[in-house]
Amino acid sequence: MEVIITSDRTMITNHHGKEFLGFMTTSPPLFLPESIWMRLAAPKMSVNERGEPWQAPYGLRKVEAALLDAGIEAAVIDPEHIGKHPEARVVAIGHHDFFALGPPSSEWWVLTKREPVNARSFRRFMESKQMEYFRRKGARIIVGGPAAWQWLYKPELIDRWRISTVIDGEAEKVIVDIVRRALDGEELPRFVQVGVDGVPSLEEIPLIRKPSVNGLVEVSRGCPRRCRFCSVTLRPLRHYTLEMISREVDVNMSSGLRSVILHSDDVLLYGSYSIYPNEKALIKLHELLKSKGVSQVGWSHFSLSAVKYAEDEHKLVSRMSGMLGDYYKGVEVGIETGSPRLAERMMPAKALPYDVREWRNVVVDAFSIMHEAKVVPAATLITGLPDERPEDTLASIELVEDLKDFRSLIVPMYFVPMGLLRGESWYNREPTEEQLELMRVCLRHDLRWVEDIARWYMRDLNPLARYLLSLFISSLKVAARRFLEPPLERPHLNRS
Amino acid sequence: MSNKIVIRVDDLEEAIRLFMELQRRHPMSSIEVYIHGSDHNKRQDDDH
Repeated sequence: MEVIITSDRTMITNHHGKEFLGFMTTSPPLFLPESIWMRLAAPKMSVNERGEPWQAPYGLRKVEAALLDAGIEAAVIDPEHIGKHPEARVVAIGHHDFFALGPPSSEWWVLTKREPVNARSFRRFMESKQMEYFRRKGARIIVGGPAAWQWLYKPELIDRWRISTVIDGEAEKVIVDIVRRALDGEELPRFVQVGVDGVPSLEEIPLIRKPSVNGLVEVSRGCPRRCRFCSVTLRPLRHYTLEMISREVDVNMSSGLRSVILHSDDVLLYGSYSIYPNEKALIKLHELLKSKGVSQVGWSHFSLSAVKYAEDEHKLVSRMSGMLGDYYKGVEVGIETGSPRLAERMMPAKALPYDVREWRNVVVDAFSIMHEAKVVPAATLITGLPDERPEDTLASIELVEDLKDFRSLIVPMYFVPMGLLRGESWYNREPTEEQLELMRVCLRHDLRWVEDIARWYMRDLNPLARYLLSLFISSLKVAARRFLEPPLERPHLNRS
Repeated sequence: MSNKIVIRVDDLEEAIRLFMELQRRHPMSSIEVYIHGSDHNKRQDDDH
């Protein structure tokens, strides 16, 4: 094997077939020893005789496919089995959050002052005997993925772990060039940014050859909204054809997977080149999944404005959910803020086609629609932005309270300025009292709904994992009582 | 015509500083930053 593609245990796992359990890898172990926490959040999967895991992260599968399509011998290998390939000359490593500097890991670190397990696990992997072997023999170590930027804050680890190249961006084309140069013994760039001219066109995106974690398949790349804070919108918008999606679903289903997670930055804009959902394209996409006998479908992301528009104009959300079957479907959504002022400054396009000053109503309507359609959102809110005022946080608090009757989980993301990440103790910053109150309100909301959601979510989990998760939820409720003091008195806010 | 920006520097800290600056100024461009004489770019003998 010339090229090993791998990562640490928190990535090379299928989380017991439950994608949202993966979020437990972003936390330090709570109420349970780390070894038990890892067994719950990131269990090992079966591997074949070459050490290839049954499922692998979708991004790593894309890199694998790109290299195989180029005639380079490469495979995703389980981190505990990379020693089976001592002849490998390149080790390519991807990760969602190498050093727990991204959300929500950074937030849990700030709140608990303890390092999350994803960073711990990754460090253990990089310090392992197997990785030390590859370093000593001079193998080229190439890192990338959505968290590639984090290496820029860890120069000491670039040196210590002898990282040859850091690739930031869509890597499917550039990885072939970099790996070929590595195998030929040529000089490699230390840092690479993939620009617009380096991203693959739709026709150049390789299709996965082996199964992805929990059946995740991409349906689109890019986003038409043009929010200033987001790099996704800089990329060209590309929608997979139904034929491409069908082939990747077939790869997963032929391995025994029966679930699908449709992935893009806004699945409801699949097939659209504007901010209006394409009814025909979405219905055909979901009819395709139904025709294949997929037993469970989830979506990675919806935008709340698209939820409202799609349902108000086309009854799309309820139709899509109903088409798939009578069960709860999960999705992530971004509330981000309840403050019209901050929404207008930070994300004016996120509310389109609605006026951003109506953002609170858009959020409430979208949650109501999803509740009726048996779609269960896990929602993010951002707090701690540089321009945030106490009244902005209070507006977010009031919005969360407006959502109390809708089945959902709401998680506040605590913004950490990148400039702080260079310091050793960046996680020692303290939230304000308003920010703490926002966290309390979200926790109250989540505790109200977590058992209802867990009852559905855990129904087909293995008994040990179900027991451990129940234990964790019970312990969380007990610990939460100390944090959930009576709410602060709040100044009356004008709701007009 | 490629718009790739290629830079060579002497050390890692300078490479990081320049790379971040180039990313900020040219978010849509392809960028490669090399470090002169870096050990990571030399292959050692493969004993196996």
